[in-house]
Amino acid sequence: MLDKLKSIQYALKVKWYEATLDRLRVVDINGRKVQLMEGGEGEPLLYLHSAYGENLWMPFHQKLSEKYRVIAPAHPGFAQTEGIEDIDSMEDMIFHYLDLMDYLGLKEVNIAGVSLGGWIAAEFATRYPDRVHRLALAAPVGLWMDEHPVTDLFALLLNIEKLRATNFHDPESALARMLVPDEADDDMKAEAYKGMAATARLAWNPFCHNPKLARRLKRIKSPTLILWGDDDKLVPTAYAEEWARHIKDSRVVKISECGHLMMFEKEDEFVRSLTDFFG
Amino acid sequence: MKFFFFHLMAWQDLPSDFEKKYDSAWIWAPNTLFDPEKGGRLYNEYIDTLVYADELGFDGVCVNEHHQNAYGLMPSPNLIASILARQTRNVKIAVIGNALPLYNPPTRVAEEFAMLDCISGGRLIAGFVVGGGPEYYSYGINPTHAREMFREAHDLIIRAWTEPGPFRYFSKHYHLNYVNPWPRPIQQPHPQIWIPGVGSIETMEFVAKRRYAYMGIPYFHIDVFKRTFDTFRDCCNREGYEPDPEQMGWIVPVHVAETDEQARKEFEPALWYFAKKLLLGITISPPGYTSVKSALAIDKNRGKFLHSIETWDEIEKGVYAIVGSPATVRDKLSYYQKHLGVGNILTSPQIGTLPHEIARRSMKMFAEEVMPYVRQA
Repeated sequence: MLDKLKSIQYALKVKWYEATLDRLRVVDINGRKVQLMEGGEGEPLLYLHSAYGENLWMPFHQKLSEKYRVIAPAHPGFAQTEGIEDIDSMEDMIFHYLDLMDYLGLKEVNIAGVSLGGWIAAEFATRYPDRVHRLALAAPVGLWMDEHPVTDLFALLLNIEKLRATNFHDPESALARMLVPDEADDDMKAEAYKGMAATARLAWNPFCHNPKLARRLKRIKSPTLILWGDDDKLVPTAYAEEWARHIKDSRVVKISECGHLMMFEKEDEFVRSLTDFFG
Repeated sequence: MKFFFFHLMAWQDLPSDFEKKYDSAWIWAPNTLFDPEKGGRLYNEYIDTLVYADELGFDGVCVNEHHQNAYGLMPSPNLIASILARQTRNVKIAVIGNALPLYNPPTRVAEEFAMLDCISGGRLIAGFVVGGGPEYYSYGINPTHAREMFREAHDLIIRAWTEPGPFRYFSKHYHLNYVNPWPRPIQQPHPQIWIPGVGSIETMEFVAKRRYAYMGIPYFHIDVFKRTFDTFRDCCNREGYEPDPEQMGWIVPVHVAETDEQARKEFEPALWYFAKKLLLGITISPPGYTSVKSALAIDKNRGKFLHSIETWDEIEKGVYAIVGSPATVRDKLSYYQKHLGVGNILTSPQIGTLPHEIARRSMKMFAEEVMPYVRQA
């Protein structure tokens, strides 16, 4: 049974790799190598990934690309994107994405960001509100409420079982076990370590938030979707209302029986929520 | 050949089911397990033991820095060292070390080490460390800046000791218009510098280049030490010189009693307390604290780490500790000291729960019946 499961997991992964190959390029943006995946036609949709580092072309990318031109860059420090040593703060990350948007000729774009990516998207929109058309924030970190602490993901790395339980509504599912395996191979371990290191660059201290962000959020002009799993054990669902309170034109959508990594766990609902919102 | 007495100052009273109830003796192990009254007695006894090492003729004593843990109760080794500077006469006082990124500005280290050197009459050995992984959780310092901050702080301290002040020091992490510490150290151009390491090539290159001394951090299989010191020698060779054995130190728990059986009987429970309880969580490594390559290598060596060892036979074969009669200990110590090619042995005779009287008896036998022999061998 276990062997069979492993072989299915392996086949799935190979499929994702193959799908990625056709859609991947590494470009030079202001002297920095940046990995981009791109697929589909229509309105551009800039997808900013989570700390998990979903930088393979996965089913949710594919489904979104049936309606939009999905552009999914890897953040510095993730996959083949370089330059993390020059990113010391959110400010540096925002400049990075300003350069990327200029490079791609994106004047005003729809952005969807998950978790860490949501935080980056929100920070970007507070600084350059005119460059964001519609904004979707899926379980973003970035705000802080003492009564609803974000789980210390940096401490979770020690305990794979806890890590899985914190990120998924159903940590026992085959999908959860594949995405966060008990025994990862060296490549996967190296990539995860690199991604967490890049995340720590921005999120170690202050932990997963910017104390100044809340009062800047009123600068966001674009209609904003705040999307959350109803069983998010990493970034408590209570944050959905907190984001909505600060962003003028915002609406909250919750996905039921869903943990933090909703683009994996509830792929269809995730995609449907975004397409309903972006139109 | 030099002998140092290394004290970690362990908390001795963790409950017997500690490792079942908690996943770490570090960072978040609740400090309600620390009893201040007992702690006070423990500090005083440990300090007495360090002073005793001076009376017995050890070449030096070592203290180190750790935060928020049961493994070592010295958040400030400089406080202990300042007592030793007054209460000892001959020993070198090795503070190995101060975790540089935890001091802001790191001028503080230049100042306190200079004070220690002045008070002790030039007996300080200055140790610099990056700090353990757990420290970055405990102090909130961004681990992805650890190496950079360490290097910048190091450069600042060396300049503070060797260049007339005031001078300006601007680096990525530190911006000081006036670096001008009073006092300055007695030893010129500066106190001897020791850097402890767990075998990362980057650290060894850093040490080799500056001709500092490299201390191999313990609790690994003897083969890991062998590889580490061979690599360090290679690093020195690449810098164009052959390292003096005293540029290397081997940290190893040692216990001596009348017979091998007696020694094991006394030491084994203390060692298991240390290995299974106090080492629990010591390898917690925050993301970005090392390179990806080093992180994977550390992951691979985990099985050779003392915490993972289960039998006394493995302890003996892997030389995780040297335990026995004076004859046994001097034979093993001479053999492995030559095998590794090191000129400093840093014994840590009081490990885990080892009672003070037994530790002191072991130290005395070591000083009288082992040290002279190994020095000659």
